[in-house]
Amino acid sequence: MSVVMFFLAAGAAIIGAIGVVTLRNPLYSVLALVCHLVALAALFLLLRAEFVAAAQVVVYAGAVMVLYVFVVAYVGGGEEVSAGSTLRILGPLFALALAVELFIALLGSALSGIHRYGAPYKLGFGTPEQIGRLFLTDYLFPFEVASLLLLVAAIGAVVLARRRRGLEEGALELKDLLAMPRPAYTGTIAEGVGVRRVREQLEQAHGGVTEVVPAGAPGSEEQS
Amino acid sequence: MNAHPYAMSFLLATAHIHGPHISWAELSPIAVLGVGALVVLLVGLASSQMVRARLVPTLTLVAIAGAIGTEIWRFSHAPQTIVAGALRIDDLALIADLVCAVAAVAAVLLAWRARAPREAGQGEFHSLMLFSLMGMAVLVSAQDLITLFLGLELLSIPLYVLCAAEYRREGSLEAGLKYLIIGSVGSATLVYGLALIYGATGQTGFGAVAHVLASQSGGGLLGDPLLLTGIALVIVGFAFKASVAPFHQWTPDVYEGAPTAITAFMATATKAAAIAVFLRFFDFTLTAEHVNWAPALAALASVTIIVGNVGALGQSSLKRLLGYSGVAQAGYMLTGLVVGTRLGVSATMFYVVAYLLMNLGAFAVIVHQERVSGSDRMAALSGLGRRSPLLAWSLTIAMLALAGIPGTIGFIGKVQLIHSLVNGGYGWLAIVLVVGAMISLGYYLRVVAAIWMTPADARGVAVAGAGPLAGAPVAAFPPIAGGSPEADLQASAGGGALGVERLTGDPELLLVAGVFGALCIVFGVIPGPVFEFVAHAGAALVGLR
Amino acid sequence: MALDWYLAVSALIFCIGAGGVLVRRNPLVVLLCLELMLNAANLALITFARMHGGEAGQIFALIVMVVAACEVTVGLGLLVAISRRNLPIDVDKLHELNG
Repeated sequence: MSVVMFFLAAGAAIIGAIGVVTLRNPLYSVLALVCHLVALAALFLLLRAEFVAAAQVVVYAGAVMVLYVFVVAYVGGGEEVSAGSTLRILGPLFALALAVELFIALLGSALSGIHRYGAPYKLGFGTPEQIGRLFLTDYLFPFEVASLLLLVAAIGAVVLARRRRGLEEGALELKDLLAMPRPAYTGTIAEGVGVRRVREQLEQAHGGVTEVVPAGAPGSEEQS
Repeated sequence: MNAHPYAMSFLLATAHIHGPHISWAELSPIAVLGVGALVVLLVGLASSQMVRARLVPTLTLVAIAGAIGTEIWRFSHAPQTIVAGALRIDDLALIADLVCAVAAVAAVLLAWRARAPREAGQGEFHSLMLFSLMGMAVLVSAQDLITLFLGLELLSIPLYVLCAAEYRREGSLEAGLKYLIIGSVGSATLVYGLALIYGATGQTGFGAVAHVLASQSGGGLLGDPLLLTGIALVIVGFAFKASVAPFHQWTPDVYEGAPTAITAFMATATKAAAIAVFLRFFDFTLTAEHVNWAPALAALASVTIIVGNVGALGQSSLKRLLGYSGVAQAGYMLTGLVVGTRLGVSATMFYVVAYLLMNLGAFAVIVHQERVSGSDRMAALSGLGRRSPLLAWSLTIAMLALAGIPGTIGFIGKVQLIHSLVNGGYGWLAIVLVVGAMISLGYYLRVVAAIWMTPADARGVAVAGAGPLAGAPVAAFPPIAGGSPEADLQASAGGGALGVERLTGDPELLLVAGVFGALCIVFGVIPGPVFEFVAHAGAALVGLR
Repeated sequence: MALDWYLAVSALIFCIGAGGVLVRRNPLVVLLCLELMLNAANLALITFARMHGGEAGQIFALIVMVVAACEVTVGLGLLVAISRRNLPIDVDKLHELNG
């Protein structure tokens, strides 16, 4: 029975993984990854990691993937052009070489446990109680740091994805506008009394160049 | 009816769980940073602009100063393994902590008037920086595979965000994305390698792994393909972080795109932490496997030295140049690790300290350059010697030290590395190092030449190389506001008065540049204190010759 | 099933993920491929936990899940920020930094 389960789950996990890499539409890739994650959870169950399997389905496949779906919908992934020719050939070749290397490592390993069925089952192995106990005793420090890491990710997401006022239009802040170079006489009393218009007509007549007044130079104080 | 036994077992469980003993004295360098990050984050929510702009960076500096204080307090105490074997606070960790903390102080000062913290939010920016610093502290003291991985992530994830902090500049966002993707590939590779090492040894504690390997020496586990594959993947994972060739391609791009203060922090602190953890992991945990990993690392180191130095030759952007030079310097530091002796560890840590001092001064000048001329092109440096002698001298010293000119700390560092290499039987690697240093003269001296060329000589170069924004006009005349929009933006952003003061440099930049430039010379002439300081690191790793 | 089967599946998934990272250009999909690599590590960790009969591997796997979630959050945040700026979402088109 467990053999059948293994091949079903392993097959689904590998097909899901291939789907993630090959499907053109990012949304389908996300769905393939969900399939892959659920199949992986089944494998975890076969390995007696009950709590990890549950967390995998609830947190990973449930929550993280929903985030993905939302972002795909927001960003609008759409179709993509295929990669450049060198990477397109080299990428799979590299993956194949890596696979060969890993399989040599697995098969060539003289470790006794690898080719057997695992250590004898202990009562309570992999249960939430046992995991929780370890997180509060032997692995207390990683547990605390992991919580800080989640906080960092939350801060990071807020910093990156929040809306900033005026940013979308490419608008400049007031002080940036004040600091901008501007044509001569704009925003001055001279403009107010109409000297500027006369000057512009003169310039058009003679093809003159507008003079640039430095920001912060005398004259700009009159601007309001 | 089932509820009863479960409830009983729950009660029993709560009765029997005793948390591990936490020795706060040893944990204090890490705890101070964590608490500081949270406080800074909360203060950053204040509505007053004044509080956010001034109090938050000040508090950040206070938190880092607190961490430095506790690190000095714990220095040269007996090594302690704390919190159920998660961390080991010894002198190697504390030296690396101190280096990272100094880099963070400099980065906060460089970011004082920069655009990045205002765009990301002062509280968020500085608390992320503190979290990253805390990640480095966790990483360098990690004594367990799990803590190691978490420390690495706590270091990296805030940096991904900080790289993208200058939200309005496309280069910054792209640098963040690039760094995130490459960094994540690195950590995925690393975690697979760690998984294989765990699988081969059945342990996660460094001490336990080292013990298993040592007890099996001469057969069995040593040289097992599974273990070796794990080690190879771990090397690749770390190589991404320490920007070791051929996993360095991201370095110049990200250094160029990120806000310069963050680049300075990444270039110095991340590298120091990565090298320190390299030392601990290979020269302590895997020391029994030395015969197998040393040749691989030696090859990587020599490739890195050559690739980094050759890559830097053609760069015209100072940040990219320092990116490539950082790659080469990572190669130098790796050589000390390869030897696997106490001398090698001390030499590596000496070079880490030297690298910190040499780079921060240079980055301060780059920040100044960017504020004045809006670019970090080398051509824009012309006339710096006349405009701001202090900055010019400190950049000159930094470049000469990086090149390894006698009289600077860089020279002593390289001599130390060569000494340890020859002593440890890696003479050929010493030759590679010397060749690399000779190549590096080609670009470091180019920078020095650009600084001291008179503007009249440089005008042609500047106009050709840097376009209308940078170089000659700014260099040749007193500041003409309105001469270029960027210069004006930069000027008004700083809030400083326009004038000659602007061109000589902001006070905090002058401070950073001056202090680190001076230290490069002082410790180059009197290296004794640094020697004594780093000798502790070699002694911290037990089991080394 | 003997444990080497599980490890073989894990190695295969890792390689598929690594190949995907190299071949795909859409950063969204690249992030998904990174998930694959991390999941492969998780499967290996849990297999080794079963092999040694200790839970350290399972704890490690849970921590890796936390880290994966954090990386995804920041990565997706970056993608949203980039799409707000109407930049091209394509790894190779990030021209700004080249050269």
